[in-house]
Amino acid sequence: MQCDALFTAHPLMVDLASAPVFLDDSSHSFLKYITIGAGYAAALVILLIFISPAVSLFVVICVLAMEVAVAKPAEFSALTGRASGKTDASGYHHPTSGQMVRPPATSDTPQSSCDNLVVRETSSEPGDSQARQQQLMQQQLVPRGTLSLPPKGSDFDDPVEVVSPAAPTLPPQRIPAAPKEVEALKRPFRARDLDESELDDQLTCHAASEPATSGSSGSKAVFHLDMHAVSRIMSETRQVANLLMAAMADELEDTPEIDDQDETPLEEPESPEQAEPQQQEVSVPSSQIEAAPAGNVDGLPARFRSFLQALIAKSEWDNGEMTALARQHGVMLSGAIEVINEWSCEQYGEWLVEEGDTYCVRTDLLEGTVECPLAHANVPPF
Amino acid sequence: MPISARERAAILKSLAAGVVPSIGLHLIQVGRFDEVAALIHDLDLVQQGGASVRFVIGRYGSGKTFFLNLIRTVAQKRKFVVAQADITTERRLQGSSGQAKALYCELMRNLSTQAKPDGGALQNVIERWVGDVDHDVRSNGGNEEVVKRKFATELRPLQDLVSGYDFVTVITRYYEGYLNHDERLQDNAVRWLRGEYTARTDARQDLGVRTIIDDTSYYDYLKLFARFVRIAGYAGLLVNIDELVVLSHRLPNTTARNRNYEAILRIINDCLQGRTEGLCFLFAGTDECLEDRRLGLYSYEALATRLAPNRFATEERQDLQSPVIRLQNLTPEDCFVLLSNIRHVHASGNPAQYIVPDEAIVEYLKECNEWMGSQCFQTVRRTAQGFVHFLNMLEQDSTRDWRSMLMRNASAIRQTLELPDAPDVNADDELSEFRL
Repeated sequence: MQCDALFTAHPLMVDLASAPVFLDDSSHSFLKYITIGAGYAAALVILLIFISPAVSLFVVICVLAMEVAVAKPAEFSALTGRASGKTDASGYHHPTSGQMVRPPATSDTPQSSCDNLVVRETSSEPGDSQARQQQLMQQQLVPRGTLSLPPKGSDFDDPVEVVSPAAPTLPPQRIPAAPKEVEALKRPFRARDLDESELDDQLTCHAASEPATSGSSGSKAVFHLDMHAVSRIMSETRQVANLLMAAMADELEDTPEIDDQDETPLEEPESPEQAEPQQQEVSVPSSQIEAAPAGNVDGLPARFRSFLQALIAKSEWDNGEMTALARQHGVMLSGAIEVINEWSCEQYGEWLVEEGDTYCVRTDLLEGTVECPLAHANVPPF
Repeated sequence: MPISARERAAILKSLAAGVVPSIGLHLIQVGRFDEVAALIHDLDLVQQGGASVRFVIGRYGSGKTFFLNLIRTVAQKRKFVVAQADITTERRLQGSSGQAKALYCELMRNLSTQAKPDGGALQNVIERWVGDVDHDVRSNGGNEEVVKRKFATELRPLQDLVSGYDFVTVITRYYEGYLNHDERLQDNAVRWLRGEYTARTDARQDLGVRTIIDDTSYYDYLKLFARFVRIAGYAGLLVNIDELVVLSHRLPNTTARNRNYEAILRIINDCLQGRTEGLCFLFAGTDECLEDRRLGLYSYEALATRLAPNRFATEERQDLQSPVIRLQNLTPEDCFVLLSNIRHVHASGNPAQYIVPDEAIVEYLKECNEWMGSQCFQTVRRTAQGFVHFLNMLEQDSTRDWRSMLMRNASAIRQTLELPDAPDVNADDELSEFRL
């Protein structure tokens, strides 16, 4: 299967025996050393008989050391454990990257396990587009934490490239790949001006060979709605809505009055003559104020009504203006806005004054309730 | 239930952005009649001068944060003052390096009322009461000194509590600042009430008080403030604390964890034994946060006893008198009703203006199920988000049928559904997350 090859052996991957570094033929070395050792033991016996013991021992040690050093430097390093990092049964640490390098099971066994070492060497010539594409795909699909060698003549600086653990991979159990994974696979193709169709074909082919899954979450039951349950939930939801409505409405009826002024009869609206001087201080045309009778402001404490009357003269106030206006009307600004907004929430379901960098007044809410001077004065709103 | 333009816009924009709306939650609430009724009963109790503590427990995506926000909305409508904060490793119920005080500061910063639902209502609450007293005294011919004496008289119940005297002093300083047009003095008073003073000497110099709010005293000030808001005419103080799981599973130090559990125990004892008034605590956490015998609340023996489940309760019928309220995850049917509610809000409450029929909702859910599986119903934030996008596009392009829209945009919906969950702001801020 062509697609299966993506996750198994690759024609460009060669036997590890050709690699300069390997560690898996320790049994062969062991037999060789036994043979050499037996030969030198026999020679030692002869020397001990005919030459002095001290000289013979020196000669034997020197010969042994030279033999081992000349035979294979890599084996020498592995034996001493100094050259390329500590070695254990499962592999060794790469001297520069520190990553764990694991030996393959056998040199001709296809790489089917994600944990096995993959040492690749390509026989393709530099510039061979097809080979480069294959190699690139192999790099993308190689299991995590594996060691790979760049192709000969490639422009990689480092002679040994360790594929980053963050490199995109395609776990065999998650085919088809998620769009993000496919995108990640395509990115290096684009970067090197390679044809993406090859990748698409192989992904499609491999996806077709896998059993279909219905989505990213893995286990998906057939979607089914129990309409009886829906009816029950809707009924309960209506009950909840009624409960919430009652809970919110109760407050309007049951909560004791906060301001004892509410219990007093509503004061007569200020006469225009009384209101005019105050309004002039905040630059509201007196003609507008005169045209603004107090309307239905039931529920709003009486001491805030004159402030409200003045407030709706403009749709936007800055902080200084509002503070001055509140002081003119003998109220504390934040407290007054709290009371007025609470009242407007109860009356209209909206906040009359919106606080921000400036104070915005929703004069439209009061149309028909408290006459807004702006509505009669043809003054454009801010 | 009427739907205002403000609520409609807030709900649709919040859902489209994948966050919990701050207002209008009652319009999209699905089911949970018993749980809502139990919490409303608690609010009634607190309104009458009692106290309450509840733990809203559920899995991720079961709607704990949504539930807390819903109760907050109801409480605001009932003239409660609401303080809300998420627990983080730097903001918790007990700490020796300012963590507890940081939680108090956050609660005070987020203080909200019906008139100021987005937080920052501390000054409004104070000024409202101070202004009322001032107006009351002056309308009877009194002067400033009489007003100050009236403060002391009105707040006499607070002086029985820890630091009550200093609290009255600070309120008086605030009034003096108002009279003298001294905004700095007013700001200092508010800073003190928010717990932002770090040195007693500064507080004494600025305000003439000897104490400040710190890690050890913040809970006493919460109780004090609960009494104050009732005197000021509000129904009580609701304290919502989310992300309890941070205490159990993100605090690596066992001693610190146990001290936080001790703080919770103190709250439970105070509320259940009637030692405080006008105060309601709502905690939200996950199952493991409660039941984990090694790290959770059950690891603290005294809490395990108090929060133990009723052995006669069943999964279908829980004991709603218990401090623990469990929320179940949504079912596909719940999701259907939720999307129906969203459609209702989108049509401003007018069924004649429904932009899609029920069949479209079913098809949309099928599409979601195809790509998300059970997650579609367990964590419905993205499902709701995609549905609002779907409705918005249909509204803007009336020439297209919902079927063609759903078919053509299936990939777009998938992209929405495959988006990673938005990271929690400061990791604790689950308010940015929509859960049902």
